[in-house]
Amino acid sequence: MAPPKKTSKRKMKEPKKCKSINTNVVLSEGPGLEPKLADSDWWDAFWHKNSSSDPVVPKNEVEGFKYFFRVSMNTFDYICSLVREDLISRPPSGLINIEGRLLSVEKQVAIAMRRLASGESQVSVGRAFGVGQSTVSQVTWRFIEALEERARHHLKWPESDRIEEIKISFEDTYGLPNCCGAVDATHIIMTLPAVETSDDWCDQEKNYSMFLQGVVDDKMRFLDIVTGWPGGMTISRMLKCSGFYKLCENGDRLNGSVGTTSEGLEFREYIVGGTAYPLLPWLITPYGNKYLTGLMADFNAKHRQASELAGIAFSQLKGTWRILHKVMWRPDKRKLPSIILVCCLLHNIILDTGDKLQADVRLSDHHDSGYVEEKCQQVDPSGETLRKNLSKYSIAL
Amino acid sequence: MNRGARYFSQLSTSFASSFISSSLLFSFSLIPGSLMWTQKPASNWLDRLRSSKGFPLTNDQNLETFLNQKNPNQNSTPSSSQKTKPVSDISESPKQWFSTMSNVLAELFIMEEDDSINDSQIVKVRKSCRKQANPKVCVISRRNEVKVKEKTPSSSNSVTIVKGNEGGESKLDLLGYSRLDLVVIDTSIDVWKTEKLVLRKGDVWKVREKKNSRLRSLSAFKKKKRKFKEGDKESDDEKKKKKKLKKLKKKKKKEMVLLAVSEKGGGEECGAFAFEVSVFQIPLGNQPREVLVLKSKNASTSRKKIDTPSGYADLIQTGLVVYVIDRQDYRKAFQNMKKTLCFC
Repeated sequence: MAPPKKTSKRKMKEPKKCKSINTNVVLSEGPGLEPKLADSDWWDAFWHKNSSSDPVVPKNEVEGFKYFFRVSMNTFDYICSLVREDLISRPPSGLINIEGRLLSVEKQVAIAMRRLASGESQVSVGRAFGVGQSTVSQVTWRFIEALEERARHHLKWPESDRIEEIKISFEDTYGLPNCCGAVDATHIIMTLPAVETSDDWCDQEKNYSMFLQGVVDDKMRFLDIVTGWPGGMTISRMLKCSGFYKLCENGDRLNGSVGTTSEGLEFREYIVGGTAYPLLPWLITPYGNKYLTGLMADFNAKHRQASELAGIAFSQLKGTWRILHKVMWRPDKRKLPSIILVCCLLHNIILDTGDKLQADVRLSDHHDSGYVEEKCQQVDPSGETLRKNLSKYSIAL
Repeated sequence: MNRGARYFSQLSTSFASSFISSSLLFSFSLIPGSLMWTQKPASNWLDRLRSSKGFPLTNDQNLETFLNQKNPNQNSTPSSSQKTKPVSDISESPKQWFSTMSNVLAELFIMEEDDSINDSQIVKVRKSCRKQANPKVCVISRRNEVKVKEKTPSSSNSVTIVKGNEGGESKLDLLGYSRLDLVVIDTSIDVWKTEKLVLRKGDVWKVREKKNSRLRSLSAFKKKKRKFKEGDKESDDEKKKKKKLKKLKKKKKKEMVLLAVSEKGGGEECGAFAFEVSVFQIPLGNQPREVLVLKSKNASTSRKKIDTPSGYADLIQTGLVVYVIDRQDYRKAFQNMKKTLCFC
């Protein structure tokens, strides 16, 4: 009975194809005779369909574009150019939309970015673009694979020139000389199928989660990230598992010039981090004493401001790419790190292309709301000396 | 090594052993100083078996009496006169006959021998050790437990994370650890994406790099894909080539005829060597050639091909000799070989 079925399907499809080729307009499958434009005009079709769906959507088309995809049209074009080679659909294996036409690279990028930005289900994203759920799944993963390979240059430890700029900025803004960045970590929460649940993924708040640790600069741009480690770890342990830790411990990173004041105070290069991190010669944490002296309290205030940059960056990241903020439903844990990485890459691309981070999409509360900050007791004497020097220096300012 | 020998050396190892066990066309026995061809009458299978193993055809000694019979001169080295005796003559001496028979039986069954310990005996000794006649309290297991406890890091050592390659520690050390396979992305490492194995027992975490942990990159995937595409284009030509090659191989296989096989066991007893001889006809260019293969039974596993009769001395060590001989007469080659053996 199978062959007759096939022929009937073919008969159904063929007239549609012919129409689309001849007139560039096909009939939709929905009720009524709503015309659908060619695939290259995906934005017009998408805007027409979705602009009036939600009152929150800006009326302005340019603003609307940014609302849906978090990037300006120029940045969107740049992202398309990065992944074009990998995503371009060629017959016969190329992805097609419901009408049977090949998906343009732009539409694929839009689908993937909408999925990452909204965190909505594949079905609802697919509905917004007129494609099926499986297409959304396939397109998103292809985009992620392509971007994590092609956009590597947007996430790397800066050259010495840029490091100097960062240091100046931190000193000017927060009174912390020779500071190269701020580090923090956040949980990407998910649900797991019963067979995959284990204490390793279960974090302190009894959520199943994956860690994302990031070092950011003065502009909240990610300089270094680590992800994939299970939420059951402590943050300090994750740090020690990271390549960043190894490089710093071996003197291969944060090994730039040592600053000296007229009073003879020395400051090596370092980053700032919260109480969850150990106090190390290159990682300065706030004073954790119950009773703080004025000097300590002053330093802690400045330190908090600087280290909050990383927290704000995570709030921005999770707010912009809502897929990271929503509880992911049974994600493939081998793929999840790539999704997280691509969101970080997109975050950096926005900054690198001159787009502004949208403050209105940033999470209103803490990026890890509900989590109590861990406290690491480890104190390195060299780190303590550096912290003392920094405290003295901040008073002198 | 000449062309034929080189060609055959690739095939001889696999084919020789399989063909040897197949039909016996000719049989001959080689012992230094003598070469004897035995054309067997097609009587019954038992006679053929007996004659192939050098037993007399008419023997009324039954197996039980044969087994119960003690061989007093088992350890003694055979005399020079025995060495020169042809195989059929051995059957005339009951002692020789016994030793040959015991060799054959030893191959089939596990038999105790006084003089030397062979593999089968080792197995037997090991098996007998499995159960003790008078069981005692096992102290060894307790020692093992202590060792395990010593090796397992204490729970207080929570900060230390052991890193190393998978399989670096014994399985005993990892008892009670949960295993977790991870994909970690770390932008501080050249290869961003790596696979890790996390072993956890309470607060103790052990992180290990997985072997070949570098995950397939997109570019590699692309390359593979591209290769596949290119391969698609050339696939017709390649398929044709493959088909041709297959046909050729089949043809060659068909053309390679097993001409003769000889089997000789128990050579060690007479100070000689045990080996198998087989003759193959192989297609070499326009003129097919015969190849004579000697395969030593008791040689080391590392085989070296020798293409000249003068290489005989290496035969016992290397186990395989390949002679490329003229098509006309491989029997002549056998004779030549006989001479070579005699010289040695």
